[in-house]
Amino acid sequence: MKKIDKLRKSNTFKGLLYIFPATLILIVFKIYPIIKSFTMSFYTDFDYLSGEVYKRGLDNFQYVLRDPDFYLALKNTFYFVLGAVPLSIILSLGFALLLNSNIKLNSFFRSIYFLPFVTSTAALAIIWRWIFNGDYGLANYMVLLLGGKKIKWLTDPSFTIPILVLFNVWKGMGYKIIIFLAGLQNIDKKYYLSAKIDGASKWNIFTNITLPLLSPTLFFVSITSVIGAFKIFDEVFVLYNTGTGPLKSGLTIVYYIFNKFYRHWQFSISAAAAFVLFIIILIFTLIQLKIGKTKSNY
Amino acid sequence: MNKQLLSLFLVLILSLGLVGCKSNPVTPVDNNEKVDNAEEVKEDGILTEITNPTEVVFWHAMSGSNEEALTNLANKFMDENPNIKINLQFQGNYRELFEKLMAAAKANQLPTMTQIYSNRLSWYIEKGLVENLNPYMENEKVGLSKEELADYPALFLDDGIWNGNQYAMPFNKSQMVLYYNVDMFKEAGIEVPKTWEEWKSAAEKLTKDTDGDGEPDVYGIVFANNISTDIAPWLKQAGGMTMNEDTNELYFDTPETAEAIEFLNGLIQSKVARTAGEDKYANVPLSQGRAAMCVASTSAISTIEKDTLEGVNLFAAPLPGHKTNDQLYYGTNVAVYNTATPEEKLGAWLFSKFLSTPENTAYLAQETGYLPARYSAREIPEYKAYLESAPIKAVGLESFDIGFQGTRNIGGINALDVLGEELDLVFAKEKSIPEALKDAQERGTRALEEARKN
Repeated sequence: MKKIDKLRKSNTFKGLLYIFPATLILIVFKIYPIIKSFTMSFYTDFDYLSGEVYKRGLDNFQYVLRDPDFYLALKNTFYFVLGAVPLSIILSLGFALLLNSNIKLNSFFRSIYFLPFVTSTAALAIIWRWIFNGDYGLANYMVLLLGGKKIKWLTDPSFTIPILVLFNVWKGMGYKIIIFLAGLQNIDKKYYLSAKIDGASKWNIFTNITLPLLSPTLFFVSITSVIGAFKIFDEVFVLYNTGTGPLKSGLTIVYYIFNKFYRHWQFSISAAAAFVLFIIILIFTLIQLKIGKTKSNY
Repeated sequence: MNKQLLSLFLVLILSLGLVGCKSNPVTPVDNNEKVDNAEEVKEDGILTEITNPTEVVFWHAMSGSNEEALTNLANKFMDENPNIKINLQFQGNYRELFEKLMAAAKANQLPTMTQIYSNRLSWYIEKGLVENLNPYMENEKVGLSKEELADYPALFLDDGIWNGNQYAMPFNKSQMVLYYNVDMFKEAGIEVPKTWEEWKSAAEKLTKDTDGDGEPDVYGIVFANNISTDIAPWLKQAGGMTMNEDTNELYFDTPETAEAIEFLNGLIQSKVARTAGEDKYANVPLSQGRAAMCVASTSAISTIEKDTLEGVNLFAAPLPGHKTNDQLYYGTNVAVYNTATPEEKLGAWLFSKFLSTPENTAYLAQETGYLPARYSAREIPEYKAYLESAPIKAVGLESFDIGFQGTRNIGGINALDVLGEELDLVFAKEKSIPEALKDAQERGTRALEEARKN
């Protein structure tokens, strides 16, 4: 018994040793900044350089929660999440199913879809800016061909979120397709064969076999997509020339935080806003976890 | 799982976090202990001679031909001062430079000297991080003579003075001017506008909608996208101003501001003027013949000349005036941080001074689109000859005496950003001018107050 205990002890120690480097990095670059920015969100009067705090309080949260800009950022971000998450999941699941059905040039298509994901957002955004340029863009060329009138894609505030949704869906699809493909290939072929013997239709097979057995993957993708979508920033930043789009129509929560920090040097307000964003994401993730527990088959 | 070990580990994490929390206050360093090898430390605390090799780190945002000119100047300086090494460090564009400076200030790793706008420098001055250059300037050995000082246009020196102390020396200066398409003016038979009224009627005459779709193909005037950042000349010309540097008061909701905004908005609503929009910079449509005039900095001249399509003839003029004829000058200065050693600070001062000698400032002006920071620079034969071959570069030299530089309030940028947001709403016809200005005043004042809290 003692021997086993000893062995276990040394194993635990070894394990801790293994994760030590990664933990150290996490602590220094993730956990410490998180704690620091959380405490910073309570500073109401302080010296940024010396770190001296003269007054603490809830003023920053009050400021954020009363700032119409913050609500605008919330609204824009919610629209974006509502548009981007379902659309990207449905589309990438659809493409994954197609690619899984052994069509010709399978791996070629897979690479094609994956390309936008590995290209830098900045480079992609420049291309998109050209496509949607109001004067000589490809999109407007098509519109004119079809007999329409020039559309101000990038300068009309009502197009901002739809374009961001499209951009984000297109960019992230390759990654999600790969995840879905992995999930699909993990499903035992036996189920499909027996379903075929029973004479199940394609739709029946999809809803009764594929979907339930894919639910862990679906669950993972939906959680990461929601979190990712809430954090949207770089797409706006580059697509709208480091601005927030026409009439702030592309002001998202992270952009709000960025602006407060880097442009306006309101460090503690920015920290408070970041904390509010954290709470929002946490709530959504908890809801998803709850749903996931009851719905998914492990 | 071994609970003891686990709790030990958690304690370790916690203590690591706590150690990290203990911050090192950034205090202006008194480097007296480091100067044991110095020749002499004067009563006013400055060195006047460098005997040991000293490195001066200079952060800047000059790229392309600007950077080349700066590098040449630095090399020339190092040839003349073999003990001083100027380490030029490019930090990206202005905004990136200022972000990095802020982070460096927090980390107590500020460079010896930097290129910086005065409205950014005021924060560092309030934090006591900037070296007062007066002792150097007034020093017999390393300073400037009365004649030399008088040779600096007052507006450039003033831009570096806070409470009577010189915290920055002029570096790359430029003026906000009106660029125009010479041929379009000739064709229409009109003169370059000198007043707001002439400007408006010129814009009306030069705006053209050739395909008749209601959207002009040639706009009369194009303004920069963030028109509020440099809104000051129009407010001044209408008899007002953006804000008060001493009382920190905003003047957004005043009849003068309203007059200026009404003028600008009138141009935009009647579709004879627009902001740059997707063109990003106001000079782009002008260079491509899609606009007759644009408002931009003289520093853009080299880019404009490079990008202008063949057959498009451009020239520049001072901004049209109204009640007054105030002209906006902008551009950065160089400042020295007091976190450096006395030798480094002296080296930085010598380099600051070197950058604005008549020869060197003329050289910089010749190689870039910037203006020389000295009156006598235009007497330098090479520069004189150069101006004759490139008369557009002489435009910015005309208005030094009616020129001014922007306000430097801490948080002033934030307040002007708020004004910009409200103006965008006005231009998009979502808000009336009185309403927008009232909101801008209220929100801007709050932004100014907020900015002072850290």
